[in-house]
Amino acid sequence: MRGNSVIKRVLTVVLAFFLSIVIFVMSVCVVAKATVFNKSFIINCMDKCGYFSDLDHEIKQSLTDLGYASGLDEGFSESVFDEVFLKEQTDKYLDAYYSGESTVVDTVDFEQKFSAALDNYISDKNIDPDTVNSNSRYVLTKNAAEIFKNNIKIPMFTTIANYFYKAQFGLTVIIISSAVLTVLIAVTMLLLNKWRHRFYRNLSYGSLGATLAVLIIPVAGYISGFASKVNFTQRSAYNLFVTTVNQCQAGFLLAAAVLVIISLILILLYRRSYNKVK
Amino acid sequence: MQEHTTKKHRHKGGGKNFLILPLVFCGLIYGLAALIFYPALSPFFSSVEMMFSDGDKDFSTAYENIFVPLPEDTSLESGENGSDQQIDASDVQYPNYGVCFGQLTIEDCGVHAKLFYGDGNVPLRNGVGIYNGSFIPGYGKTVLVAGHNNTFFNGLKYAQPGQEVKISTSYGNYVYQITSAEVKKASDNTAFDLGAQEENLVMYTCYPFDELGLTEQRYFVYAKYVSGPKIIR
Repeated sequence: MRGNSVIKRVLTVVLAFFLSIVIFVMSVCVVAKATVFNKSFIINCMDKCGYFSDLDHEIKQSLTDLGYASGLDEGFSESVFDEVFLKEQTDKYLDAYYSGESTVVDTVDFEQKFSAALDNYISDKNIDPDTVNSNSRYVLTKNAAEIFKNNIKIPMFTTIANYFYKAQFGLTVIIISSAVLTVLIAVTMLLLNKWRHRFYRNLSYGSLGATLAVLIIPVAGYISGFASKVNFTQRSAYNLFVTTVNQCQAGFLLAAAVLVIISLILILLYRRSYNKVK
Repeated sequence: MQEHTTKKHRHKGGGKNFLILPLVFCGLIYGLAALIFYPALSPFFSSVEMMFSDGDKDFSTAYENIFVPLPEDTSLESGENGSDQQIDASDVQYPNYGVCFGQLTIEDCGVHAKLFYGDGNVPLRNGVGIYNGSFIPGYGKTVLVAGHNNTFFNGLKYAQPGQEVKISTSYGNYVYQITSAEVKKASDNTAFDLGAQEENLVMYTCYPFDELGLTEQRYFVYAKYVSGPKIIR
């Protein structure tokens, strides 16, 4: 009889451990799904860190450098596009990326804008259009489009695209499976114990374990400060990365807070049931 | 009394478990994760590690300037006296990429530009730059200098054989004499010889001058060494 009881206790502890794994995995997947795998979240981070203003400045600075080699005045780059156009193009790029359609930045709109700005420049400066070499102009436009494309692209996004799409689908499956497993483990625990307080206690072990595991992620992130050490050459991309990481860490903290509340409720239920038994 | 003590003891044990077991679970979760995923993901972690540096990122576009002008008459005079001077390599601070370390002047062409090591955006935005696959003046090799044709090297269009090019650095002042100027294709790899065993200066910019658009031709100006301290190793 006593051996049976020991096996049951070991089994419930093992189940509580599995429960903590399942809750941990589910929490990580939910946070990932709500943050980096969510286009609105990225747009929100972009707005928060002044991404478009930085990007606007960077692209215009590169176009000014290109202008130095192409006979264009410093002010030319200012006339090509504005922040609204940048937001639209970034939105189009992210839409295509998150829907899995394409990882390539479409530069057709930009090339049209650049070409129109060049026409205006030629007319404002009273340059005879016939003296402008069409090939030089073509190469200039293509180079400008390349600058625009490279700046709009989010670093690493193209490299991880394949994994990203697979993970996007996989996350939903994992979240649903984890939820089902959590219920199954809880039911098994309930069936293994005739005492309700032990059921609550074992559940709280599992949720507290998952809470600690989830909490370690943002704490380690904040302590190491790794986000601010990323090697990006663009200020806009750097700021976006730091903001995104900070927001993800905040997401993990929120998940940990929810788990703490669940654990506290379970502990309270355990205490109440335990007092009843007493 | 006995029964009461036992119950109290059990309750105490349960309290401890609320701390110990979750800690053990947490440790086991990461331990298992490391055991299962680390071997497969270690190449990924190594490549991710390369994306991070030790310090915080500095996005300042300001450039470092190590140029401290020497007195004008320091070895600037042409002739044997100037070309015989020697300087130990250990006394020369070899510039890092993107650092301003001198001044390039062609009085006859109206060219006055800061001289950078490297020909990236920041150097060419602020002056002219030495291609980092060539050498800085004094090493007895090819010094290849690039500049934009609409800014600092616009004056190269007035370059004529016999004109003097002065390069001032913190370790010595150099004089070169223009020997020729030629228009060549940007892709022409015979336009200069980076393996040359004698000091020579090649300056180039886009051609035609003042043309709108990115051109495929380059304007090369060749100059021979006249004077300036030779760096010995």
